[in-house]
Amino acid sequence: MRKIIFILIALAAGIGFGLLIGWYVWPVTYTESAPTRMRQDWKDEAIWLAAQAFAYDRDLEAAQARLRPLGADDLGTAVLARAEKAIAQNLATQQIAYLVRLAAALGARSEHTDPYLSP
Amino acid sequence: MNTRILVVIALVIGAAIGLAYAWLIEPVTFSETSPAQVMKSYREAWLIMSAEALAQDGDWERTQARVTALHDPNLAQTLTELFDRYQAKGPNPTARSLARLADRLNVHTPAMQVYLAEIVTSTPEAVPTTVVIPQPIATSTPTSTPEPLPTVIPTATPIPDYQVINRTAECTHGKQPPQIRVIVQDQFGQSVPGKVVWITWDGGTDRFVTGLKPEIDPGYGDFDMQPDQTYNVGVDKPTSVIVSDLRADSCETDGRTSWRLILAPRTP
Repeated sequence: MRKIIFILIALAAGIGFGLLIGWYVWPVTYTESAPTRMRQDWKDEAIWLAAQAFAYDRDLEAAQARLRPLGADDLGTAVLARAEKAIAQNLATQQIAYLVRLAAALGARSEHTDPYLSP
Repeated sequence: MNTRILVVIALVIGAAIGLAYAWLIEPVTFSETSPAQVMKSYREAWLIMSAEALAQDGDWERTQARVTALHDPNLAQTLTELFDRYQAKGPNPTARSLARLADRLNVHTPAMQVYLAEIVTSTPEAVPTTVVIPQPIATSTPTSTPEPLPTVIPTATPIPDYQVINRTAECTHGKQPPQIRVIVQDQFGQSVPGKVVWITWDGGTDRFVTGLKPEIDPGYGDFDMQPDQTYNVGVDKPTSVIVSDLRADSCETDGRTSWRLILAPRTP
C-alpha cells in the first residue's frame, strides 16, 4: 500500500514538473503567427505604417493588402478609429492627416477627422 | 521491483504526461505577439511599410524602432532580397524606398546605387545657348554715329567629359522597338552602374540610369527610339552631347536600326 502511494505521488510530481516545463519554462512558441495576434499597440503602429506608406506610394490596393491581415471587418472604419485615437492622443497633425486620408480613400470619414483632409 | 526504481519510473512517466499536455493538448497561446513573431509575408510588408514611411517623412529614429521590432538577424539579406524582388519589376517607388532604407543601414548593392543615384540627379539643367549683352547707348553728346547693335556672344560649347569608344548599328527585328543601347565604362574599361544617360531630341528630353539590367552588363541601359526622331546622347548632363543624329532608319533587311554605344571618360 505504501509502495502504491509513493508511486502515485511520484506520478503526480512528474505531471506537475512536466506542466511547469511545458507552460512556463519552455512554452510552445509560434514564430509564424497571424498578424491578428499582434498586441494592440503593434496593430496601431501597423495601421499608421500603412497610412504613411499610402501617402508615399498612393497604392490603395497595396494599403488594403497591408491592413487586411490585421483582421478588421471594415478597413476604413479601423483606420478611422486609429485616426480618432491619434487625435485624442494629440499626435502631430501630419501623422493624423496620413491616417485620415487613408480612411477617406477607404470610404470612411467623420466630422472630427474631415478637417485633416485639406492639405 | 525496488520501490525507488518504481518511483523514478512514475516520475518520468508523469513528466512525459505533463509535457505532452502542455505542449500538444493545451499549449500556451500568446494573443500578444510582436511583429517579430508574425508570418514572413507580413514581416516583409512591415519592412516595406517602414521603408516607405521613412521615404515619406524621414523619421529615422522611428524607422529604427520599427525595423528593430522585427528582430531579424539577417536584416541585410532580407532587405537585399526584398529590394531585388521589387526592382525586378522595373523602377518603382517601393524599390526606391527600400534602397534608401538599405543605404541608411549601410547595406549596398550596385542595383541599389542606381536608385540612390536617381535621387541625386533629379532636375534636368537648362540648356545654355547664347548670351545677349545689350550695349549702353551714349546720351551726353548726340552724334550721327549709328546706334551700336546688341552684341551676340556665343558661349563656348561645353566639351563633354565622355567620349565614344565604340558605336555599332544593329538591326532590330520583330516587335522589339529599335533602341539606343549604352554601356558606360570607367577609364579602366570597367562597366559603371548608376550613371545617368540623357537622350535629347527635337522638343524632348529623357534619361535612364545604367545598371538596371545587370544580366546584360552592369553598366548597361537602353532607350526605345521612335522611327521619325533624331536623337542625341549625353552622360550626366543633357547638355553634354557625346553622340548626335542617331536615327532608327530602316535596315537593308526587315527591321530598324538600333545603336549600341560604349562610352568612357575622355582621357586628357
